[in-house]
Amino acid sequence: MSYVMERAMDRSPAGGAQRYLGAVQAGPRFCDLLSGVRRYLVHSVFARAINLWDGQEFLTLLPLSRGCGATWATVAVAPGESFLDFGLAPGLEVEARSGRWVRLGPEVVVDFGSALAWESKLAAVAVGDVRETHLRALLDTLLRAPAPSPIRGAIDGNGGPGRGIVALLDGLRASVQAADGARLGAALGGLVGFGPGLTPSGDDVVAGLCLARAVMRKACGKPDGFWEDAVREALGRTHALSGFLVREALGGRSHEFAEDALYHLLAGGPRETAHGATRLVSIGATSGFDMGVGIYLAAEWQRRYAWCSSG
Amino acid sequence: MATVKNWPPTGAVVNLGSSVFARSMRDQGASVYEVLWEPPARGKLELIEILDVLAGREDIEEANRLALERYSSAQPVLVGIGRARDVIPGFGGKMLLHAGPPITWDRMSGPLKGAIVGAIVYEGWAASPEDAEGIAVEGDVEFSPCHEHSAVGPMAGVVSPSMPVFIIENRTAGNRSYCTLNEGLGKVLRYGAYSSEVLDRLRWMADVLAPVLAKGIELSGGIDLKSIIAQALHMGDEVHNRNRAATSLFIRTVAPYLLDTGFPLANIRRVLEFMNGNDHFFLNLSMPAAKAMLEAAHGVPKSTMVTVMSRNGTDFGIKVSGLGAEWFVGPAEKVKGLYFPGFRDEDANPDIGDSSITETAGLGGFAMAAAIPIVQFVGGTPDDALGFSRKMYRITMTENRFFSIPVLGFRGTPTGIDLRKVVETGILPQINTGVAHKDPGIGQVGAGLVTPPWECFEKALLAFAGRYA
Amino acid sequence: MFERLTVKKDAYYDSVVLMRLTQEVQRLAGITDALVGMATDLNKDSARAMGFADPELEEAGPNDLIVALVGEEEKILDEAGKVVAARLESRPRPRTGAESTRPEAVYSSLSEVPIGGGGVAAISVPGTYAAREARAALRRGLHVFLFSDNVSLEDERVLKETGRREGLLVMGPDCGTAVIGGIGLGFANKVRPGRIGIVAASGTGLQQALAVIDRLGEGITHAIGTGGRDLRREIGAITTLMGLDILEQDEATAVKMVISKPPHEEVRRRVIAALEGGSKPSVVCFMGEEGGMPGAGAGAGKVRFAGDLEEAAVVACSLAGAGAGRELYPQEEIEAIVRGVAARMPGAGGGTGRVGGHLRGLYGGGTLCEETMTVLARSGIEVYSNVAWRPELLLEDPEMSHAHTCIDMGDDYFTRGRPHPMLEPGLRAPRYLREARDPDVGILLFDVVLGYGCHPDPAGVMAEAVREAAEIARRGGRALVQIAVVVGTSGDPQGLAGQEKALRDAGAVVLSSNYAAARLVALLLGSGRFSR
Repeated sequence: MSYVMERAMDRSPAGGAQRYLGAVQAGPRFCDLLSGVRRYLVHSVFARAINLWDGQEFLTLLPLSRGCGATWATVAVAPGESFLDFGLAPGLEVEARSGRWVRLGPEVVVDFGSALAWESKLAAVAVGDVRETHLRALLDTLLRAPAPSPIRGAIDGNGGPGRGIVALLDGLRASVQAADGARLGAALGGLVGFGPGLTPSGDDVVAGLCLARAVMRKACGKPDGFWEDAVREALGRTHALSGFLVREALGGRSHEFAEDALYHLLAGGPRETAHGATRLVSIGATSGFDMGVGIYLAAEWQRRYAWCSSG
Repeated sequence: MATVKNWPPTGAVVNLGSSVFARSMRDQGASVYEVLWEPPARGKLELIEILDVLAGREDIEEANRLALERYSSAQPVLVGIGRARDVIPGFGGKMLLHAGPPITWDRMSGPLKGAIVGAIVYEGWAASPEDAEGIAVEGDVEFSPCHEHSAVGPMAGVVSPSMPVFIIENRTAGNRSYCTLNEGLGKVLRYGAYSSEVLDRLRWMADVLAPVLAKGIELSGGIDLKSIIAQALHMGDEVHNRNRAATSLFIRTVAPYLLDTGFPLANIRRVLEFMNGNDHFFLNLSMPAAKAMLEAAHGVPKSTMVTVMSRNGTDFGIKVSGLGAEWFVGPAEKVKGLYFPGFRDEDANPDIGDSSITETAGLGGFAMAAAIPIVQFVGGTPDDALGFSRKMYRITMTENRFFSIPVLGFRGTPTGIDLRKVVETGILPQINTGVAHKDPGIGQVGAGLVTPPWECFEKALLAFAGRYA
Repeated sequence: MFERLTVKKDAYYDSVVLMRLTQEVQRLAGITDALVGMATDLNKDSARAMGFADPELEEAGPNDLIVALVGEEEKILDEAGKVVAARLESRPRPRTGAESTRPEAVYSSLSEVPIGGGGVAAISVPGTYAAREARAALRRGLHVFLFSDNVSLEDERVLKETGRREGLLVMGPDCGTAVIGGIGLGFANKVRPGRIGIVAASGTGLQQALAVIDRLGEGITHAIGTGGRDLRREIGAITTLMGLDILEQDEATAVKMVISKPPHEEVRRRVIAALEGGSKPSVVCFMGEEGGMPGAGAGAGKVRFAGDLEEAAVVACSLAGAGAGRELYPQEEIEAIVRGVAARMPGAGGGTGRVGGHLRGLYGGGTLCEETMTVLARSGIEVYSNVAWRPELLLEDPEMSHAHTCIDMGDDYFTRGRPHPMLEPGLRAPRYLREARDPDVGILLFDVVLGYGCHPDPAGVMAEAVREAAEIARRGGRALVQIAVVVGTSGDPQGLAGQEKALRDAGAVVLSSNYAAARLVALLLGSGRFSR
C-alpha cells in the first residue's frame, strides 16, 4: 500500500491544494481548457456548479449525476459538499497543467486524467416523424413537474398569467411560418431575458426550441435560416452565460439531460422519453422544465406545421 | 525486560507533513505541535547529504563561536577621516573601488558605469564624460571591489583615490575599515550621476566637510559607533534604510567638538546643515562599522559564518569566514518595493551596493522589527516587519549582545548568518534596500526588499564541503 | 558588608531593562543595595552615594555599564553578579502570538518544537526526506509514526535499530494506521478501550480488524503499526517484537493480535516464539495463509491462527470474552442477501441469484484487495489484478480490467502525484463507471474506509457513482450487483450508520466485513461451497 502525500508540497502539479477532485466525465470542449488553447477564468460559483469562461465561451463543472454535455464536466464530490467552500472566487485565473490537471484556485485542483469522454447521442440520431405517443409521454411528464415557471401556461391549456406568453410563443411559430421578421423579432424580444432563474425562463424555452430545431434541420441537411439569425440578434438582451447556452443550442448542443430527452423523443421509446424528461425537469428550479417545453413545442410544431423545416 | 521507554507516550504529538492528520489528532484530544514542513535545502539531496555531514560537527561549532566572539567583541570607533589613496590598503594609481563582487566594465549596470565616469572626471583623468568612458572601456583604469580593501560603499560604492573617507577602527582587534562620506539624496555619484553639480558637491565635501569633521572627530578622541547604532535601534532605525535617529545622535555627539575646531563658523554651520539635511548621513558610518566587526570575524577556518553580502548591480556575491577570499556569486535580483511617484518596475536597476553589510551584521532587514516605520518606505505592514526579523533568527547563530529590538522584548537582533542554516531552511537573508534607476544619474527611484540569489549559498556550501567535509 | 563594582566597557543596554534588573538584584536575599546602569553622571552620583569611590567609576562614560553591588557576604555578591550576567546575556523574551508555547502554534521545523521526550512524531512528508526527519525525531527522544512511504529498506533498518537502542518505537515507514493510548495516528478508527492489543503491519488490515472488534463490542489497548516490511528478513521484526513486548508488559492487554503478510521463515519463528513465550493468549493473521495452523513448541496452544481479518478479530474478541466466536455474517445471511439481489434483479441468472457477468473490484485498501483475491482463489475463482501475486494473473495494463479483476487503487501506479483514494474516494469514480459500462460486468465491489484522517464523506461520494452505475445498467437492461464494504466503527467521525445508509439508498449491498463480501461474491459467481 502506498500513500503519496506530495500534494502537501508545492512541487507536484497539484501542489498545495486542499481539495483534489476527480473529473468523472468531460465534454469535448474541455480540450481547449486542458490543452491551454484558451485561457479561462472562474466566472461564477454556486453551491453545486462552477462556471468558467474565456470572455466568450463557458465551461461548467457539476457534481457527478447532475449530467454532462459538450461544455460540461462532472466531478466526484459528496452530496453535502458545496463548491462555495472551496475558496473559489469569480475572476480567478484557471491554470491547466500537463493536459490533465486544472487548478481552479489556490485550494482546488481537478484531475481530468481519468475522466471519461462525454459523447452526444444526438450526433448520430436518425430523425423520422415525430410520434404522438412520445410527445404525449413528454407532455405528461412536464405537466406533472411542479416547476413554478411562467411558461407553464403554454402547455397546460390554462390562460391565466400565461396568456401573454402563449401569445408570444404562438407568435414564434406563426412568424416563422409566415416569414414575418418583424413579428418574430417582437416575439423573441418578449421572451429573451424574461422570467425567473439563473437562465431566464424565456431563454430556456427558446434554447429548447433551438436545440430541437437544430437537430431536426441538421438531419435533413438544412442550413441556418431566418429563425437562427433572429435568435442571435435577440441574445444581446440577456446575460452572457444564458446567451451562450442558447447559442450552443442553435448548434445542436445542450446539457446532457436536454439532449437525452430529445434523443429519446426522436429515436427512443415512450418510456425512455418520460424517463429522460424526468431527469430534464430536475435541472434547476425551472430551467429543465422550460427547455422541455421548448423541445415539446418544437416537436409538436414540426409534427403539425413542419415548423423546424421552415424559415 | 523494559525495552521501550516512555510508554505509553504522552498525549503530545509533533506532526510533520499532512495537516489533515494534525487536525484529526487534535479532534481526538491530542496536543499537536504542527510543523509546517518544507523540504530542506530546497529539496536538493546532494545539499542535504552535505548538511547531514556538517551537522553537529564540534570543530565547526567551535570555529563559529570564535568568529562570533570576534564579531561581538569588536568595538568600531570612528577615528578620523583620510584621503582614500593615503589610508586604504592596496589602493593607488589609476584605481577605482566599487561595490559588490569583482566586475568588468562591459558587465557593469547603468548606475555603476555612471559613477565610474563621474569619478574619472572628478579625479581629472579625463576632461569630459565621453573621454572618461573611453578610458574605462580601454581598461586604463583598474577596478577593484571595496570589500577587497576593507572598504564599503553604498549603491555604486565608487571610491576614487582623492576622495575623503571615514576611518573606522575596531579597538579590540585593531583592524580598520573605510567608507566615503554620504553625499545626500537626489543626483549623487553613488546613483551614477556625474553632472557638474555632483562633482562640485564632491569637491566641497573634500575641501570643507572632510577637514571640519576630521578635526571634530580628532578632538572627540574617537566616536563609538556601536553604541550609537544600539541606541538608534531603540529609536526607530535599522541603520540601513532608516538612519534618521543615528544621524541625529551622531550630530549630537560631534557638534560640540566641531565648535572647537577653529574653522570659520560659516563652514561649521554648513557642515552641520549638510549632515542635518541628510537622514542617511549615518549610513556611511553604520556600513563601515558593520564591516569592521565582520572583517574581524572573517578568516576563521571551518567557520560557516557569512561575513560579506554585497552587490554590484549585476551580480550578488557573498563571502564566508572559513572560505577565505573566494566570492560566491549569483545574479543580483530586482528589488520588490515601493516606487517614488513617476517611476515603475521597469526603471529599476537590479540590486546594488555594499550596504547589505548591515544585514550581514544583524542590522538592516534583520533588525526591521526595530524600525517599524520603515514599512511606509519599503512596503508591507508592521506585522511583516516583525515577521522578517523573526524569520532571520532561523538562519542566524545567535542573538546580538548589543543590538536589540524593543518590540521583541529587547531580544538581540538575529546575528551571524550561518551558511548551513540558510541552505537547510531555504530562507534567504532579508535585505532592506534603496532602488537605483537603471540609467546613470537619475538617482533613487524607490526602496524595498530583496534577497540574495540562492546560488550564492548553494555554491558556498559545496565549496565548504569540498574543503572541510 | 561587602562591596563590588564592575564596569563593562562599551556595552549599551536599554535603561528600562537596567532599571528592572536593578530592582530584581536589590530584592535578592543578602543584597543591601545595588545599581545596574549606564555610567551616566546621574548613575555615577548614585554609585558614589552607595559608597563607591573607585577610579574605574570616575573613568566610566555613558557607553559603559556599571554594576555596583553591596551585600552581606562575598558569596552573595558572586551570586548577584551571576544573575546580572545571565539577565544581560539572555534578555527577557515575552512570547506572544505565533511564538507562544501553546501546542496549537505552528512551527517550521522539528527543532523548534518545545517538546520533551515521551511524545510521538507523526511524519507524513515525502519519502525522500522522511528518514531524515525520523532520525531527528529519535534524537529528540520521540517515538516515530512514519506514514511516509518510499523510504529505503536500509534507512528503515537503521531507524529501527536506533529506535531499539534508544527504547523508542519506530512505526513504519509506510505505516497507515496506529492507535496509541486512544489517539489514532494516520488513518485510524475510533475504538473503545478494551482488552485486545494489536501489532499490525497493514494499515487497512488493522482498520478492518478494528471495525469488527468494535462491532462485537470489544475494544483495544494499543494498535501498534509496524509498516509493511517489518517481518522481512532485513528488518527482522524489530518493531513487531518491541510492540509484543509492550503488550506483554501492558496490564490492560489480555489478548495479543498480530496482522501481517506472511513473514520470512526465520522471522516467523521469532515472532511465534515471542508469542508462545508470553503470558497471554494470542491470534495471528498472516494474510494469504490458511488459518488454524497449529503452533509448535512449548507454548503451543497459546497462539491461534486466523485465515482472514474478520476471523482474527472474531477469535481475539472471543478470547477476550466478547462475541459468539463465529462469523460476522453466517452463511444463511449471505444466502439471504443473494436471494434479495435475485428478487430485485429478475434478470440475474434466471432467478438463481447467480450473475453471469464478471467481478470488478476497486479497492482503496490494498490489504482488503488482496484478501478478496485470496478468499476467491480458495473458492476456485481466479481474479486478475494490478497487485496479483501470481504473475499469470497480473494485469498487463492496470487501466484495463480483464475477466474477474480487483484493482488496488492505492497502488503507486494510481497515486503518483495524486492523493490516495482514502483521502479522495471520488478519484475511483471514473474507473467505476467505466467498469459499469462494460456489458460483461455483473458485480461491482468497492471499499469505503472511515476513520480519522480519511475523507469526510466517502460513502456520499461513492453513492453518487453507484446511482450513476445503476442508471447505466438500467439503460443497458443489465443486472448489476454493487457491493460496498464499509470499514468503520460506530465512533468514527463520518458516522457509520449514515455512511451505510447513503450507499444502501443508492442501491448498493453494504457489508461491514470484506471477508463476508468476498464470500458473497463467490456465491453470486456460482461457487456455493465455502470454507475457511
